[in-house]
Amino acid sequence: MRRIAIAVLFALLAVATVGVWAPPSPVRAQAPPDIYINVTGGGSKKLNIAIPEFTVVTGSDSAGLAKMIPTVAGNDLTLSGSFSVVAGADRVPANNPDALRQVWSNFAAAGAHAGAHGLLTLRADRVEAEVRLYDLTSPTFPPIASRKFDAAVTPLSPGFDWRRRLAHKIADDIVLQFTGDRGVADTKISYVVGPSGAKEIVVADYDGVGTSPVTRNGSINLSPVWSPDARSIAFTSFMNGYPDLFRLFPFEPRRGVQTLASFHGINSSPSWSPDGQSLALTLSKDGNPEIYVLTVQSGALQRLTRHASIDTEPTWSPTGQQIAFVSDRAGAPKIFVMERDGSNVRQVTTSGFHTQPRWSPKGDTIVYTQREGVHNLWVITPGGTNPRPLTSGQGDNQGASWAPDGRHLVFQSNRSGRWQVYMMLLDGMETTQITTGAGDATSPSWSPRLP
Amino acid sequence: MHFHIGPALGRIRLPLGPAFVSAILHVVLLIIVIFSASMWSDKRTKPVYVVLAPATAAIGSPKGVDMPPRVEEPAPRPPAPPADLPQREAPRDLPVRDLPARDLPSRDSVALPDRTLPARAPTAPARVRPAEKELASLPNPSPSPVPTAPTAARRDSSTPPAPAAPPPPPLGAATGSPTGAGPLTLNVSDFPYAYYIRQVAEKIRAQWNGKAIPGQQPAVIFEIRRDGRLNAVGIDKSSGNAYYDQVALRAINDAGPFPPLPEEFKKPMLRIGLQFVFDPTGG
Repeated sequence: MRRIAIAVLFALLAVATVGVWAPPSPVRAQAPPDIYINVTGGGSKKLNIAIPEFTVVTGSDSAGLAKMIPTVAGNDLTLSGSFSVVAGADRVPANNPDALRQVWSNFAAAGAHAGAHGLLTLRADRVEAEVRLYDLTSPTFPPIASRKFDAAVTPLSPGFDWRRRLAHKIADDIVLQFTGDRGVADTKISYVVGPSGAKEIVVADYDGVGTSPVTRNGSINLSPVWSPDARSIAFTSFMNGYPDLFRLFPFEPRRGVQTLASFHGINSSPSWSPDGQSLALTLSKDGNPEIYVLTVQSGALQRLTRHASIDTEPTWSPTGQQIAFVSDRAGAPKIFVMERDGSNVRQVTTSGFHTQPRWSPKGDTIVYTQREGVHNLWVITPGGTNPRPLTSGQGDNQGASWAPDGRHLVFQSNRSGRWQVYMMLLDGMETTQITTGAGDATSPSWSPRLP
Repeated sequence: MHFHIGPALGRIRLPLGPAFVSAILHVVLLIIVIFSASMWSDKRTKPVYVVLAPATAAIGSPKGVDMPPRVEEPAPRPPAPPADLPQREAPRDLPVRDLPARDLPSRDSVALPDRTLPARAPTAPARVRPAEKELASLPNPSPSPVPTAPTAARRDSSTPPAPAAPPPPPLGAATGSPTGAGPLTLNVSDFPYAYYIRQVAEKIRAQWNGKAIPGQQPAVIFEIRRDGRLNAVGIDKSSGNAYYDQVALRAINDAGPFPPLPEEFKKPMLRIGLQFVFDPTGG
């Protein structure tokens, strides 16, 4: 009897306890929200940000960093597509909260939502920048975050400018703080320059500044593609008389060019696997162009397609599980997708003439070139749904390459009368010309974020 | 499970009757506590509303808000449930979702956007709203040339400023808002970071665009971790249609990650209640 009573007691307690601890539906029945938001439809708005001249705390600013960094970073923020930079000549004196408040007050009056103020510590060999972010939409201008960056002072060269790199890093972090996604300013692009006689590959900052040549063989060099670690570039070159596949190391000037594939026939259209271990490429060694996977370390070769028609221009999905490619097996060239081992080939695009597929780093989109009199860039889901144009009515637009955020694209266009490289957002907006050289600029490739 | 009675109780006879009564009373009490706690938490003591209409933003208490003229529906949140029940049947016809919002022509016009920003005047000059009277309660942080007089004068005239005037009225200091204009009464909130709310709303809006259906307006609750990642998402008030609820949840999930929480905000999580509103003006 007593046992039963005790058991009942415990059962009751257990029920009560479970009642207390039963996990509620994910978020309900806890505390009330901190805030409520109403969201209506409507166009996207940019964040207006003010970046006044940086303040030098120690050292002398002979290089003009206090002005240069905000300028470069401000341009990065504009190119990010998420910000408008509010112009203003206000300077912020060091250690003067009242003056800072006044500056923010002026910028807020000019429409700024946020402010970024940098404090520079300049030494002979190092530069340290502390960047403080403020919310200018709240009456007291509360601080949001404070971040420190530093850079080693090294000799400037056309290919490397530590001052710009520092500014790019600052901008990328500001983008992260305000959007949740890191920016892509600390990246490079490579592209091909020159008339049809000789085409050399160059590397520049993603905004087109600081061009430096990385091939100088006087031959024809094509289709540069950055490796996932951003240390090397695969490309096709006729430097030995045939279209062979090579790899160069743009940041290691003394390191020579490495031959990746020199089979009989075409060796072209390289695409790195996401892990950087392999390359998908097109070889015609067996008669007609087929897609292979080359393991870089061992040189092992695996053939993926077996079809009498042309199969070319492979591009890996970010998971490494699938490869999209171009084939004319169904008539005019279209985009197809297959598994990593070549199985389960399915057609992605229909009715049209489609080439140059590039799989988005986010995985949900493939950009390609559609021939429609002129060439235009389109995107489609890997499943073949929702095709839509990104460019139209502006000359030829082709050869797109994704930024590592999957939100920006570079491509070549002749809308100005000559081939130049442009940048745009994934929705086709905010197109910006980023090369201005005298020769043609083609085949852009956007690097991953630099290590 | 084997159970030992402690030495003190080992010998004596357990007072079973009273123990029973006591246990039952305890359980009842517990249930009452839990119940009332959940009731209390549902009541949401004085929530702060953030309304981000396309062009302007207002932040204030539910009473004080006075929405922009665009919406003629009743104040969206609290005890609203019965209000939208009748509507629920009508809007079943999907075609309402008008996608053409992203029309092609705009792409052309944007071919070379105004990157030469200098001296950009902020868009949407000051839609001034009556709620500005709340500003009086705000500390005016700066003695800057921001007299409240001009603002007040403009409010009286109740017409928007001439579009030609490039710089908007100097509203920044005390009235700074996500668009540089409009009223803000953030001091009632635990979370005085208007920029953050704005950015979160923008990210969700971008995901939700084109999926707005009148009468199908679920409210969701979600939490953002310090690093900006989503912690949990749930439906707070169903739209009555499971599909639209799912669309709303998906919009939140796809909108992440959000910006990291401001360093000065010390809670481990920001909890946000969000009401999807169909804007009949199309925004």
